Amino acid sequence: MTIQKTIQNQTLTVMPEGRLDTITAPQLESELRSSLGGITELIFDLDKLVYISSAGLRVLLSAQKTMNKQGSMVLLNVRPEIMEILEITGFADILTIR
Amino acid sequence: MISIRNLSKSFDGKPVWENVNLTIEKGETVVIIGGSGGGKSTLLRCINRLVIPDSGEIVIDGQNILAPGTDINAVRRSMGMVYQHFNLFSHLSVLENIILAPMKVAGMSREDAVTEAKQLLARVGMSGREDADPKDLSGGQKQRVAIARTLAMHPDIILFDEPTSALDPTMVDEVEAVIRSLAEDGITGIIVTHDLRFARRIASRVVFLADQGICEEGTPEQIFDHPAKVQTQRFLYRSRMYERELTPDALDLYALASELRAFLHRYEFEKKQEKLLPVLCDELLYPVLKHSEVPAESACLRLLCSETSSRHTLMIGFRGIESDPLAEPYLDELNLTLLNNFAEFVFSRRKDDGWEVCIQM
Repeated sequence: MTIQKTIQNQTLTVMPEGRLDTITAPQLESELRSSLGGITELIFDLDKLVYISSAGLRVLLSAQKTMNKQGSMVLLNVRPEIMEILEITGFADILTIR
Repeated sequence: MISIRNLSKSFDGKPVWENVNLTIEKGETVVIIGGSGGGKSTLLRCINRLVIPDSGEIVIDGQNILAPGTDINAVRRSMGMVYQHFNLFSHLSVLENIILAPMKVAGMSREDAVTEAKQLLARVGMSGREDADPKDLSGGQKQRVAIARTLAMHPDIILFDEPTSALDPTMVDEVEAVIRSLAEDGITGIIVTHDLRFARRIASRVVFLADQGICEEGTPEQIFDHPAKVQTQRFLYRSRMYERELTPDALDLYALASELRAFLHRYEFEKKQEKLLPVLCDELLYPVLKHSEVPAESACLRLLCSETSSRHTLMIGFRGIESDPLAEPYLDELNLTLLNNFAEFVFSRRKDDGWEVCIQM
């Protein structure tokens, strides 16, 4: 998986590409840990994400918890196969999806 | 009619098969199945003498084609052969591939050969592709052209050596339809394949080769649903089962998911079943085999596929764990929600050396 990050003012846009699973979730987790300081808006652009496992969902949930304290978080361009997972697990109700 | 009598063949002193006896009536579609190295292709190649058997007779319409002095070219003219890798001439167009033998071997005029080639292409559903380059065709289309090329010599018998093995599962159907139509026209077909789903659907009779001979033969229903011999039962069971030993240290989930997918693709399957495979890896195998405190020592994973339906089963035996793998500390709500969503049902049971999880896909 490759992760693209862009920071503009206090907005961080993260674009993971490929599969966010058991193997790759720790990579995203560590990227976020080092970049969320001072961020008030976190955007996940999921246009190129094709699969997500529970490990990936946990990273999103943990990011949401952090952002609850310091701003907002939103998921953009969610593909149908990812949306299916978010709906099954109830994450679609917890996360903001546009 | 083809009558094979007491045929034996060995390579380097090791018998491939001995005293094979087989009679094939005109218009039959006989499918030869068996394990790798069991001599299926060797038997097929004896029928057009690409391989010379050590002893025995092959009598075709009253003539022993193994007898000295046999005009083998005449015999081969009445017999076509279709190969796994199509063997089309890549420097010739589709049409040129088909008219070559009728003109060069049968002495047909170009005009007649072209007229007939067009009819044959229509017959295999390839009308309008006369000028196409073989390299621009899909595997299924290449194989249909190869069959049309064989038909151009008006064979009584066609030998097929793994005709669907190099094809995507989606292309097997189109080739199967063409082969079926040949039988309806009274052409005798002898097919070697390891694709048992294809074998079941296309065969009028199935011959199972094992233990250096014909172990069992019968209708597809007899062989696949009610095999009489233990060897046949064992072969069918094994060929429907994917089995892997997994250990925490050497767990390659991507490789595993892709092997499982490739195996599943040999059978009927639904999209949801394909989606289950990575979910299985992420939500069950990884949490149990890679648990930070009480990981399983190892696991035996089996995927058992059905020949007749898309109801397949996964069985994972986890060794060296004390508690239910479908509960804490291994799996939580989220793991189970995902697993249950993509599976028909999931359950676990205690075994002597650990726990087993069964998943109906």
